[in-house]
Amino acid sequence: MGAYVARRLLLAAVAIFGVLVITFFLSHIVPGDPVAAILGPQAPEDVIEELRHRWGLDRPIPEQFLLYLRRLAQGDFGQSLATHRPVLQDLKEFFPATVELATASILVGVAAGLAVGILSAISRGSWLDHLVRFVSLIGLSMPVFWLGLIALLIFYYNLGWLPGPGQIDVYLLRPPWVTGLITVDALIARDFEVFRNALRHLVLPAFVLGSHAMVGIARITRASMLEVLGQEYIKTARAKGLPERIVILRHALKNALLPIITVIGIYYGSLLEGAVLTETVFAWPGLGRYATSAILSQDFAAIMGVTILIALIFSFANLAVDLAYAFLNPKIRYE
Amino acid sequence: MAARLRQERVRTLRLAWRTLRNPLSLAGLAIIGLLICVAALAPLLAPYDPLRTDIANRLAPPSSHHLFGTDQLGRDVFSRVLYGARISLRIAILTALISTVIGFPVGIFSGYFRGRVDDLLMRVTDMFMAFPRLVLAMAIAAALRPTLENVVIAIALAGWPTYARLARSVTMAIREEVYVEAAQAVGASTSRILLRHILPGVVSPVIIQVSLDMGGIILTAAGLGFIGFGAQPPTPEWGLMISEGRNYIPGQWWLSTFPGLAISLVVLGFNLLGDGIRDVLDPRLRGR
Amino acid sequence: MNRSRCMLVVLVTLALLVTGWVPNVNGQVAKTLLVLGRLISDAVSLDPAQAFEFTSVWVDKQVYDTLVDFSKDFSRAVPMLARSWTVSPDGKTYTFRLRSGVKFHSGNPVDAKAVEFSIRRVFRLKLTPSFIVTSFIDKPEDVVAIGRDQVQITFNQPMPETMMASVLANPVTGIVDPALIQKNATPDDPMANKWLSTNDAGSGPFILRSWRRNVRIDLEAFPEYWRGRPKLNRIILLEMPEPTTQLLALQRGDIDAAMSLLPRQYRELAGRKDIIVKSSPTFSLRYLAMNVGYEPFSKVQVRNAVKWAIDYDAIKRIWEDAIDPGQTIVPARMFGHLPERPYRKNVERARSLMREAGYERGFKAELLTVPDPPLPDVAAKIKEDLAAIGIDVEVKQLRSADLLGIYRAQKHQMVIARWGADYPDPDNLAKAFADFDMRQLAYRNQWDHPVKQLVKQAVGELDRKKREELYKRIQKITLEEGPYVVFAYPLRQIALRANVKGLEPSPLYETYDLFEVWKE
Repeated sequence: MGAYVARRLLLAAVAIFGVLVITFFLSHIVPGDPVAAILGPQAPEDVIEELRHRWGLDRPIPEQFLLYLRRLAQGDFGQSLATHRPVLQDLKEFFPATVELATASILVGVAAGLAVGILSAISRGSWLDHLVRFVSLIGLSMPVFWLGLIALLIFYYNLGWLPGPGQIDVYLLRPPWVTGLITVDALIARDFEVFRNALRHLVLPAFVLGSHAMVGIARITRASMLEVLGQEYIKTARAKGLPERIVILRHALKNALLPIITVIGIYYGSLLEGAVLTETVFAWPGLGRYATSAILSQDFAAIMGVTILIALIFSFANLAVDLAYAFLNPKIRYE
Repeated sequence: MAARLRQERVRTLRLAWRTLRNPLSLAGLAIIGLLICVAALAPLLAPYDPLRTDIANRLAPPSSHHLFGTDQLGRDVFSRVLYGARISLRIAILTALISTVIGFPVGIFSGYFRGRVDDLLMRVTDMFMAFPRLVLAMAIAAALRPTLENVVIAIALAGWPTYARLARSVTMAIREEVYVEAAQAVGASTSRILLRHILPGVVSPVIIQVSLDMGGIILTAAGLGFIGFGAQPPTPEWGLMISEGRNYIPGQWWLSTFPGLAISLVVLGFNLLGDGIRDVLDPRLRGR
Repeated sequence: MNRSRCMLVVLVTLALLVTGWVPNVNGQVAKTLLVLGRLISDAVSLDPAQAFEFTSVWVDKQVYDTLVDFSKDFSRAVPMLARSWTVSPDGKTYTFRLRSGVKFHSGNPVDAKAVEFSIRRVFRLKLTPSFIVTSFIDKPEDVVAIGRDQVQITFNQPMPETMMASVLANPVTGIVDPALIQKNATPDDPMANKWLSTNDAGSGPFILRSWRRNVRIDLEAFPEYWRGRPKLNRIILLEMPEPTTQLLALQRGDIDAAMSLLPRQYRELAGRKDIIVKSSPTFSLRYLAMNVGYEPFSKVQVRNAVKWAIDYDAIKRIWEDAIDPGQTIVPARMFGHLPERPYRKNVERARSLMREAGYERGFKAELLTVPDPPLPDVAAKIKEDLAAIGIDVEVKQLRSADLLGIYRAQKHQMVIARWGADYPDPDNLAKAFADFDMRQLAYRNQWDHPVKQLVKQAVGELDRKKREELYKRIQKITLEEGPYVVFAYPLRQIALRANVKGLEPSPLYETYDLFEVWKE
């Protein structure tokens, strides 16, 4: 097991290094001029030249890459051209918002997905099952950014049930920075108003972002519940006269969990993808927005930093899924 | 050999038949048929030129003259949505084509030769899969300059590893079968084995996978258009239309609503069909 | 029965999930707090010696005082920290007498040494906006403190009063607290640029409290401000990149003012009772440029054919009429503007010019623009207009990094872009559009024309009448021969909740200062 993990980590490291090389050269061969973009169309030429020189952008690309690697080895991610700050500091600031959103989304996805999946499994073939299936297919077919716009329009603008874009209402002050997650920090600071407010702000984006995960989880839940429900021991449990609730939740669900966990892991990773679009629509100060604007302004160091972080998360999510799998099912062995 | 191919064909036909018995997948097929018709006949169906501006008549709400209203330049939204079908269909087909063209050989070589080749090729796919598809496509699209062709290339480059993986596992399975071993024993050339024995077996699972992914490809393309890495104005691409139209919400809702509905409908079509196929392949999932 | 009970449990769970957080309507911002929705992610640094983006310049205008300011109509300079001033007969040396008793936010006094220090600091740092100072003052030693309350500044050319104000009312010459700078200086950053990028060392009406990048900027009233205590206690600038989100938030009362809506949205808000839309001319323009280095555009007839082919009225409509009409490079309402508008859509005339140039069969051209609405719409319209005279235009919408890279390298064929005045004087625009040697727009479009001599002559002309004549000649020549189609001077608009008073858009820095703003 330990050897397996070590091998996987090594492979992940190789993959990430490859990603690094590709991204670096991809972002540098474009003939754009990030310095000019950041300084605006009216900046004088000599100022632009000066800054290009100061950032080392006037050197050959392979040399820039080596320089970057050397700095990276020392834990220095470089400075963002756009924010003039160390990229690491930027990431520390923007990453928690995405973690918070992604976690809320996966919670929504898991809770609702499990519920809906179980529901349609036990009412298999009924109108409810078909309805759920059809509605979830429709949900899966809508572009997230469009869904987000429509949700804002209905629940925020027309009905006024939920707050609009952003993490908390503007007149509230953010609790002191401990973990970076607003909800957690609010609890630590015992500021329950901010906590409530931040939760309410999470609802819309979490539902929008979690919708695809919800559908995926619901489907896999339904499938594996159906499989498990057909097994002998469930029939035995029923025959023993156990209440249906206990049969379903305790016996069936427990055994159906394995494939469900795999899917959850996969979706947690792919939430990053949806985050790019959702964060744009909901003005969420997270990694997705940071990545988009970095690509838009060709902010090399920032692009590289985000790349490394995303690749890391993705690889670890995959590894975690496999390990959870092994943990839950001792039959699976690793050489 | 021939027997196996026939068997394969029968299996595919049976699969198709079973898929079509399901009303939902039939509906999906109908939607896709509609998409193809609309794309082919757009010039005949569209009441206006999708690029023709009419400044005096801009932002007109839906009416009998303009079924879906007009946009910020007075162009007919209905005609633009119809022409948009061509673009989405083209993107989807080209992307699927390119990513399978890359994925097939990689997967087949990997699965057939194993060893070093396999290790190397799989590390490459790992690299591509260490990334969410949209983010990777964004980076590639940005590096290539935004045009429709480059959107296709970006999504294909981000998407081919899935097919490579699938082709690899199918190849590995077929390779073990008796008739392949027999062919090897009688001294058939490797290229002949790959072309005559392995490739036909790999085609159908990959095509099924592609059809399942079609909706995702269209969504990714629309996402790229939405954040500005995709089609260029004045192209009537749906994602771009939503992006342009979102500045007119809530006043002129029709600008972004109709292209949004169009995307949802088309993707729903592919999803319904894909769902039906999956049902047939994996009976556990079946409703009845 | 059991099965349905189980369903019930699930349903209730779902219902709880959805309704756990039902209404709790807010939507009113407190009276002494002003919340502004706008794009703030453009800001790089709030150090006045570095700020050059819309947001940072505007914030620094609230946090730092300058020696002088412009009168509201930008026709003359008015006192700020300088109570009064005198000019030497050659127009080059200004002596300012400072107001007494003015304090920095830290409590330290604002004196002549601080002024000297602040302007010399711009030379030392030499960051983006420093050219506004260094183009007119040769060296740091030309700024000298005399005693505690007088400062003498020697310019490198005769300076008409408005040119003087162009330098000394610009936030780049905002006065910073030398004691704080020294306290936060480090060996590799002796001017504490890094520290000042996110901190406050000003004496203006508002104190910079905090800046969460790409999220919000918090300002707080400075109670001991020399003009009196501001009426607002706090101001929050909120990052809202989507115009539609801004619009919804304003309508719901979550923000007091929206500053980056689209023309159409302002127009629709104008009909509402609870919201007021205010507009002002701006010193900025939108133009189409043709690269003279691209063979067809080297012919003046082709350039003018393009000018005759474009439907200017349609562009005005695309902007929802929120523009000042005009076709010259100096915006309307600025000193020296030439109010001539010879071009209107005339396809016949455009075609005959194309024939004259030998291009009756047309040619292909690439048109670059940025995804900054409504520019893409304008590009689409121009594509259609130029098709009528045989020019087959391909529109490319690029990131501004790409566009500027191509534009600066002179590799474009056509570009649609914006230019905003760095200071409210025609010199700024004449230099950019007509003086090839400045390496700005004339250079990028490879238009090297003798008109540049006039530009160099006009800036130092002390006689207002003669100066105006010179700028009019420059504009006329550029209009008739230049590679630009100027199609709009867009108005600046802001939308406010009706209870916000005294917030006025300004032609130069988005709004006049917030000192007088209050809420009913």
